[in-house]
Amino acid sequence: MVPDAAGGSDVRRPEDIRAFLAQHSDGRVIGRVPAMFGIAVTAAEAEFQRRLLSAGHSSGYLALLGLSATLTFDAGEYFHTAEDARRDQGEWHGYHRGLQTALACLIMHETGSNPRQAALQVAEHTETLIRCRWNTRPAVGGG
Amino acid sequence: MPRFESKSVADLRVGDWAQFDGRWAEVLACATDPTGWTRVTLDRSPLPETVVHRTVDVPWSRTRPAGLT
Repeated sequence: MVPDAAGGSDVRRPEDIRAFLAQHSDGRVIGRVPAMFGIAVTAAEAEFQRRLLSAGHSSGYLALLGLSATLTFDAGEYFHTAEDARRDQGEWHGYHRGLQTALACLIMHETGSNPRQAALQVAEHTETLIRCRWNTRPAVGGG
Repeated sequence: MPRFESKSVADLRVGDWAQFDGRWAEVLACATDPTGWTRVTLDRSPLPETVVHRTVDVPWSRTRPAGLT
């Protein structure tokens, strides 16, 4: 049997992972939350992240929330095409629904909220994050 | 078969009832971006759900449509 090349000694500690992300990705590392997915974090968003962390949400929740907001911005790229629109929209709605549900499950786990409270918090947080990002989003069509 | 008025998703208000994907739901939140995309949070079961739409007209009712359980 061939030994596992990764072995047990290659497990990275959190600080190693942070350094790795800072070195190998275009994203900056802000606090405990890697700014992934090519999104530059605005001051408003950083402040919002701090508020969520201090309210007891995990950095994993923030990372997923960021992805959810990014996916919302991507909607235009999925929906504007004419022919394959139906399949693409179905795909997009599937991703969106899955993320929203995962976020609600995280809130339920982390704060003990009931499903309805959790889903409404997800909607509110996503909306706030989107508004944080609109401040610096370039206008569609240039200008 | 009752006929319902239509309303643009961008004009929906909290408390309205609207039909998306063939299902009626109460509107819990609604926000439209400058580019015309609207996010509508619907009171669906088992979880409220946010759907994203271009500006389109949807069947609309100010109150809960009769016959819904």
